[in-house]
Amino acid sequence: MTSKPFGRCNRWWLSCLALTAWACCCLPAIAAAPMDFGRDVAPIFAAHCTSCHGGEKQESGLRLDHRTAAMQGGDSGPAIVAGASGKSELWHRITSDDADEQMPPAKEGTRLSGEQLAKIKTWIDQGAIWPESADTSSPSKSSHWAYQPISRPAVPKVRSAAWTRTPIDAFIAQRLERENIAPSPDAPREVLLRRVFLDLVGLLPTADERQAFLADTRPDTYERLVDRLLASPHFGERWGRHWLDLARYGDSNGYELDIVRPNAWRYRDWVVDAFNRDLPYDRFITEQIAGDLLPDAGLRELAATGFHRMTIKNTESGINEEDYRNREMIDRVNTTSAAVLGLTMGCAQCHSHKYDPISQQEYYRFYAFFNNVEEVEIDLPGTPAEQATFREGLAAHIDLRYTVQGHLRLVEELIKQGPAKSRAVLEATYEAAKLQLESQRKLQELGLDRWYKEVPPKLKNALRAPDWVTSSLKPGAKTKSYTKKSVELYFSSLDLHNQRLADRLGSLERFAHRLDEPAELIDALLLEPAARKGAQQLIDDYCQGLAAKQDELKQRLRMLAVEERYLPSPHLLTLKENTTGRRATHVLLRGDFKQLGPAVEPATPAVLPALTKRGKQPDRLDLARWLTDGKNPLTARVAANHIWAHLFGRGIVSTVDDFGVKGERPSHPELLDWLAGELVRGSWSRKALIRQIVLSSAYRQASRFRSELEARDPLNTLVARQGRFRVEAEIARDVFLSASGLLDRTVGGPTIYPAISDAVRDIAYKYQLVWPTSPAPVCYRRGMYIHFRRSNPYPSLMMFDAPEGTVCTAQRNRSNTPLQALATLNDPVFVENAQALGRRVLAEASADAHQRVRMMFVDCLGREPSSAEAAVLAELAEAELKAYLAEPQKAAQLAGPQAGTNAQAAEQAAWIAVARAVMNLDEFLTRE
Amino acid sequence: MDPNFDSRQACRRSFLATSASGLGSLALASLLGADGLLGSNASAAQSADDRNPLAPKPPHFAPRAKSAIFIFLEGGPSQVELFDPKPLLNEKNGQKMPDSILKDVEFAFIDKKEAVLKGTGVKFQRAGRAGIEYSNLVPHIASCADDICLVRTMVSDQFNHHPGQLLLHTGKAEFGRPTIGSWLLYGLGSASQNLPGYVVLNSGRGASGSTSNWSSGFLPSTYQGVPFRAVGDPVLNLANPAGIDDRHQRRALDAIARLNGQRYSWVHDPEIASRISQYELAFRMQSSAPELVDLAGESQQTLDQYGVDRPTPHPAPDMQPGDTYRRFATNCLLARRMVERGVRFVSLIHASWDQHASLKHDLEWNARAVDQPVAALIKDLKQRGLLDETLVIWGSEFGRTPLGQGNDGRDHHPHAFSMWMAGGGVKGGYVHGQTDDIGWAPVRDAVPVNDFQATLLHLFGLDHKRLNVNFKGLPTRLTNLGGNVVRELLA
Repeated sequence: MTSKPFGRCNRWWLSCLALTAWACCCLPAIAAAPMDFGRDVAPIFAAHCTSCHGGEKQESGLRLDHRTAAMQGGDSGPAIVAGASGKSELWHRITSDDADEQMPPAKEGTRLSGEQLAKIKTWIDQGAIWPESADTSSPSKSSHWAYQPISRPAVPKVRSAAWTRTPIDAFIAQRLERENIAPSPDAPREVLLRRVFLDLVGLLPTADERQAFLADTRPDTYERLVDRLLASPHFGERWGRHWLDLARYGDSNGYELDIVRPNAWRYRDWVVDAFNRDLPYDRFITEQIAGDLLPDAGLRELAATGFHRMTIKNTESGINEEDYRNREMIDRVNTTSAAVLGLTMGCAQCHSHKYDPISQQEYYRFYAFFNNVEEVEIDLPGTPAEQATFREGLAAHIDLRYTVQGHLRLVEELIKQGPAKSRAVLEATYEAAKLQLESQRKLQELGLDRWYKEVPPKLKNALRAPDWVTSSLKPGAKTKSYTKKSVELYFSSLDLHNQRLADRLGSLERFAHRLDEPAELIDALLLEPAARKGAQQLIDDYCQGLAAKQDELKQRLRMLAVEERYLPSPHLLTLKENTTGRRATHVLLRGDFKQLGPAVEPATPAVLPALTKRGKQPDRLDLARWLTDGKNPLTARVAANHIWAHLFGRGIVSTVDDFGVKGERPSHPELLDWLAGELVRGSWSRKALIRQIVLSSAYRQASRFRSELEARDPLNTLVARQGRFRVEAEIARDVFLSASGLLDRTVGGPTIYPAISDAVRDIAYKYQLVWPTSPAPVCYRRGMYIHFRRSNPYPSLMMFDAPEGTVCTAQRNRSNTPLQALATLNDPVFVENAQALGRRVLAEASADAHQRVRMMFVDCLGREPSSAEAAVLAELAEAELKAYLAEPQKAAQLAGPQAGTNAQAAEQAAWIAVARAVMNLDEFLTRE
Repeated sequence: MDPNFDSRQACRRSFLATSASGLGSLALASLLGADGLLGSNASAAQSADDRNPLAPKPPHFAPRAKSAIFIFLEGGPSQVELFDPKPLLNEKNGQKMPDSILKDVEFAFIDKKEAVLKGTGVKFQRAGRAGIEYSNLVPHIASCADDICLVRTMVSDQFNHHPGQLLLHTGKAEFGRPTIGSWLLYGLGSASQNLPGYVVLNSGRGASGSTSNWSSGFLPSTYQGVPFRAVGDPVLNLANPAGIDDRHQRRALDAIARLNGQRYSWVHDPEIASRISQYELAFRMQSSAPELVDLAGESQQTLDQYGVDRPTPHPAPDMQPGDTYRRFATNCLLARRMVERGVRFVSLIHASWDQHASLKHDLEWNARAVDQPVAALIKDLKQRGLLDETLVIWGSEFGRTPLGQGNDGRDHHPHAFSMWMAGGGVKGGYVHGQTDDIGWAPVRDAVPVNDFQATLLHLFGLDHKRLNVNFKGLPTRLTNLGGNVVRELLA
């Protein structure tokens, strides 16, 4: 347990009285002499207090080494009340007997002596005079490396000049030379090729690309390849996804109801596009934090503000909205500081940061920048295709909902009235359905307001429209989650709905046959009992299962209601500054939204360079410019470190989201500063920095482990070799798709839904996982496009450590589990790729087993197999062929119906089995 | 979090039980031996064992429990109708509560102006040697009273389902943190070589917390809960693809292991060795998981004891396809079979107990669904000598208001609710804490959720403060900033 934060005690007055009495009779009688702060008090503070309440650390936000800060007090108010020791929290704490309150903390076992106490008391009572000259430090000065200005280190001169292709290498070599370690040689060209493809675009090179690269003997082949990859639209996908981890991207709200955000992908596309056009990092950050405040803000800048719309949102009924609004603001503060500044500011939410010089007040000053944002959905016209898709989707959906409704009514009435009345039940259901059409026609004819006033309740209730439409029908209703445009489009598509309905309602028979039941059954139900004869049995059988049918249909209806949320029309999720009825920001004591502490104005932490404001009060745009003006010591370092971490598997600062006192120190501080400086000097171009790094010798090194270094440098902090690591969750999928040839390379657009097992639906809340499985070729798009439902994410993403999309994630885990093995071996989505690869190799390679093995190896691993490796696979192929020849049924199952004769199917199955083995090699999912 | 988290943890550990973990050196050695790879530079097998993040690890001190079955009744079961008798509620049925109490409280749905106390339609009877009162809705559970340590004064500070569930399972109402089972696996490793150490069994209509209830949060997915099912494929992707039987699978895995071994002998990346052993574990799971869910070996008497074959009364509350009596009862039986096989943590979820309306019918329906199987589970564990080392927990994210909501419902109530534990080193036949006369708040011995978690870890021989991981600059633990072991609950 930590001790109580300074300044919060319940028995405050009582204990003060007691203590004052005690102090009066026990203190040495030196009280009368005038105290000199520098001589009498400062040494006591320095000896006993400032190690926790000084420049390096400000426990509970209090520091006693500088006048202004000391007089400002701690997290919850002043510590020293000049002239009144009895009212001073400081005095209370240094005299308290309560182990939770006393200072210095009880566990340190030192109490101030009676003489020391007397000096402090007298000093306070005499007015707490603290001359500036007695400050033992300047405010907010910290010696921590990350808060110091970025240096401009000279490129070191090193002995291994032959190895140093770039300045980066000089920094790496300098350190290695100091340790007497030679760098690793360049990786084989084919390994380098696969590596740079995976790192820059997240896909495998095709056999042709590989061939061309290996055959090209010009000296700048690699440079030209790098330029080509940086210009590829897939570069934005690969690097955009890295940013989306930080942006806690998801396609739903999160929490219990987890309502879908059908347009979240428009922000994702903005990110991908920003990387592709190499939007300078300063502008990239500015648009996301304050795009709405830019003088030239257009749709693109507004789309960028989607960054802070990715926050999770609780829409469970019965929540305290203020509570969850506060949680969203906190997320915005914490995400901004973690992603851009590499600071764990979240630690200062409930009390001042224990390690870094960020007080709780400063936390809420930062919070104040965001406290007046308003969430705004901006209607987009959408392309004509998008509009048409929306209208069609809505019409089809309403049609379906209406059918299921009719069906359920039939079942329920049969339960109530029994099978004898089946024709009458159908007729009544039919009539009820007609009301729906009538209601809808009236809506179209009268318009919203008149419809609402004039239509009788019976007709009003018959309307089947999505929730978000009905909730907006009431005049003056606020449509909360959906935009005006959606509702307008609903009205403009009423024609389409009416046509469909009218068609369905042509006659009782026509209507009845559209219900989802066998035609013979419907025919029988339409008969009066006397006429049924043999058909009676059919009806009786059907009536046996009515209860189950009822449940099934109810569930279906619930699902349809959820599906409706996927339909809304094109809009952008944006933020804008609220200009009226602005909120004041307060420190929230202990982080509790109900306990308002002192009011604060927007400001940035004092330990960092000062902010320049444009107007009277600084706003988000000032904040964004402060983050990116090049003087901020963190922004460029953190960004450069992110890039390095993605290209080596480990950051120069390995705690990529903690550059604070508790984070790891940089392994190569000068290199980090040099890279950060390059980023700023290079107009914040990330492509330029990435290019510099991947052209270095350090990057090109082999990743093979070196036994002589395992004990000395087990984590490879010295970069004496490249990193070797499993690819990320989405890339695991992409690697399968690109090796098999199934990959659909379309960039951007709505989310996709690869097939999932029923078991996934089984764990969803109320089983309400809408998963409109995508058809081919859409289902073969890259992993980053998979619909990310936060409460129930696509399982194979999570198995491979994709982030949950709920909080800012700077670094993913890289686990190695049996569930990953089961996924790549058995999940139909992965197996399909093995099937495609097996078939393709059979079609493209010669009949020679070794040629086939070679082709698979090259397509998957980008290198030729050794003879030992080829032998293992040829042996496998032979054994499988033998087995499948003896098991034609199994062969047909694996090879699929188009395989041809038994022998052909067996051959296909055998090579699919080989493909599956190759695609399950460690090397396949590893970037070497 | 460090991306090579698992490896780093493994490096720091002492390897007490290397051959008990992962693939086992012998099996891998034989695979690699076939290619002549076992030499001075290829100790892949040993390496895989050393690096297995799930290798059993010693606790901080002698444990009482080795496994836990957490029966999570999602939604907030009404404690005043199940475990905390409040006769005064019946007397004051329909009366208003003093404003002094209502002044500072919030409700999800109840309108304060209209709020009145609601009596219960149940009877409480004394059970067991200590004569502890249980409601007539849970007669079977009452028959285990001597083994049950009942806490009537659980306190949460979360008002809504999902945040409440996050607090209960991860120690803080925030996303991204590991759940209890993940912490146990991280701290103690897994005792099973063939099954995941942390298993999730869902029933009812699906819990609102969904996958966050078994997430490993910032820990690697190694420590995630793995959902199991009694029907169909027990684990996602467990079945081989059509056309591939076990012999094909074995041949494929042998080839994969040999090729991985060859790569290892060149690259020396211990991660390859781990990969080989994970593939072998996957293969073993392919036979051990179906064996686990196959109840053919269970006697009819056992099945009847759990009530596996009881029909599901119709209509069910908010009926969902998975919401059958059979499914929950089967899951209880599976939980026992898992514990027998060394699974560390079973999360047995039943949803939903969120009775804002239809309280009478739905609560009875739910109680009947779970009462008999839960009691059977305790007795079965006891009879097999497993209860001493198995902690059975009954709990939810909060309880329900003594105030009524509408005609026949109650609202969320985090200020005092009941949970209980049995076995695993807790004091049986004991009631902890007392709530006031209407069950609004504890009058003594309040147990905050973090205290419950500290106590749970303590039973496993873990000091909740020492079991922490550095995350975003802070040593982070299951009990967040709180947690005191409630000594009174310990046997």
